[in-house]
Amino acid sequence: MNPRLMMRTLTLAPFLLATLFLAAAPLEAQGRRGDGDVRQRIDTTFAFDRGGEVDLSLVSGEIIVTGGASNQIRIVATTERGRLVTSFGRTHVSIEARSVDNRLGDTRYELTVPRGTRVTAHAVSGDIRVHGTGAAVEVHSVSGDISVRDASDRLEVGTVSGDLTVARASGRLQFESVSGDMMAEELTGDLTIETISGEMTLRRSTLAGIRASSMSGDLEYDGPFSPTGTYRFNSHSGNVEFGLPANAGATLQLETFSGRIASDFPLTLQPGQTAGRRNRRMEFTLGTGGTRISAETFSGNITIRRLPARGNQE
Amino acid sequence: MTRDHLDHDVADESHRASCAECTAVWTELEGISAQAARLPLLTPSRDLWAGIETRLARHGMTDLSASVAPRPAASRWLARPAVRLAVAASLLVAVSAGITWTYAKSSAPQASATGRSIEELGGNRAAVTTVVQPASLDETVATMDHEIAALRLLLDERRERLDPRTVSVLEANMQLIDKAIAESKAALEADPSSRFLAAQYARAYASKITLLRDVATIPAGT
Repeated sequence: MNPRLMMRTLTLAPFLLATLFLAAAPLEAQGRRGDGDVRQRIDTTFAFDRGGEVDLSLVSGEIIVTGGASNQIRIVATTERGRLVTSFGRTHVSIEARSVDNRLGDTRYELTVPRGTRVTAHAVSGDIRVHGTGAAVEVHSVSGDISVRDASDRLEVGTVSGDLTVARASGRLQFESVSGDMMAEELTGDLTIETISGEMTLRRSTLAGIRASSMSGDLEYDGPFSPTGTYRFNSHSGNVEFGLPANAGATLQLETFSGRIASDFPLTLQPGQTAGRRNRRMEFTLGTGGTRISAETFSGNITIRRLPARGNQE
Repeated sequence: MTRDHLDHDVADESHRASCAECTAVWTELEGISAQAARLPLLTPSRDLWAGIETRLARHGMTDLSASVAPRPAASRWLARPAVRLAVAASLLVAVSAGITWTYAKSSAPQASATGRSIEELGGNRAAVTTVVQPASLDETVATMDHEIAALRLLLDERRERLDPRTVSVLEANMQLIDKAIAESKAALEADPSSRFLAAQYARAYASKITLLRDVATIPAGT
């Protein structure tokens, strides 16, 4: 070979190799900024099975997962510092943000997945949004907010101080928070709620059963209640409030140590029941019974509102 | 978050030599294990322990005090520090829930909390599978206090590694629970036969243990 050509080839070799490497791996870019921070970005799309599973975790930043009609998964992931540990397959995808030199800046995952994909996501201070996946969802964040829309089969969400918003979910539903508030609507299935000081508001849901407990947070549900369902509300100092249609058939057990019981329905004490200043306990039946509702508090108030009659309550 | 986040190669001594993060986690874990080893509650009495021990043994984990030792590959999941914390915490919760249940059962003849399930008595998500012997309320509370103290140790060990805002939220809610415990206890002392108050009292205790258990699984550095 011409020595001059050989020298030029050797000089260019690193650049040629770099070019080849970049051409072979167009999905991922990694660079080092002037301040020493690592920034990594992944942008890729590939075929993904319906019924597959994605497993995502980060510390701070944001996780967004959206279900779509396509049979492909689109992943856009970035991290300011640290590195992304990934595993991509046709049925399972996982992305985890790990620190580098004990540093880990904001991280963001945005995924579009086939409807039917199961989602597991964990964050510390990051927000999580999972919409339209139509399958099981499990999400936890310590201080980030969580929003889930259109989940089915199983939904498990938990926060310490982040707020939770859920719409259109069905199946076995489990919500937990320490101080985060919870707002949910259009739920079907069985719901378990545990919170210490968070407020829980349920609207326009058709739940077969509820088991809700709080320490100081208020619990509010406006029904409807299934004729065969069991609904239990318990709070120490939080208020419990629920609405019943005027033509509801239900058996109610209400008990409070020092709270007030207020009802739009007439409450008639039965033998053996108490309604003193302390330790009020009463059971009564509306219509032909059916739905079983219990509400217990230590010092919180219990309020029953009368709602307009509904066609299929009895 | 609580899986690989903290524990990649943490049991690998050569890896720790070049990884400050894993060295810190390892040190923290050794400290917690040492504290746990000093706690008598980790050898709980009653029939409950036998079932727990059997389950732990299946995972090659029979002695929490020795849990910092590297695990064989088959037990890799259990070898993860965050998981170990969770297992230790869950173990304590299981024992506590069992005792709560014991109290409910033992109180039945006195028409106190009769016929109620563990969930109704505040057992929350803890599983109770073993029949245990009756215990007095004082005995029950003393044991639960002991176990709460142990979980407190976990929190104290991790306090400086958690986000101060998270610690603040947890402490504020812990105070809420303590207030609930004190209020229901006072009411129960005035009316010892009330199954309702007994259930509220037990539920408050269970909430505290559940919260402390959850704290044990929050990743450090957050």
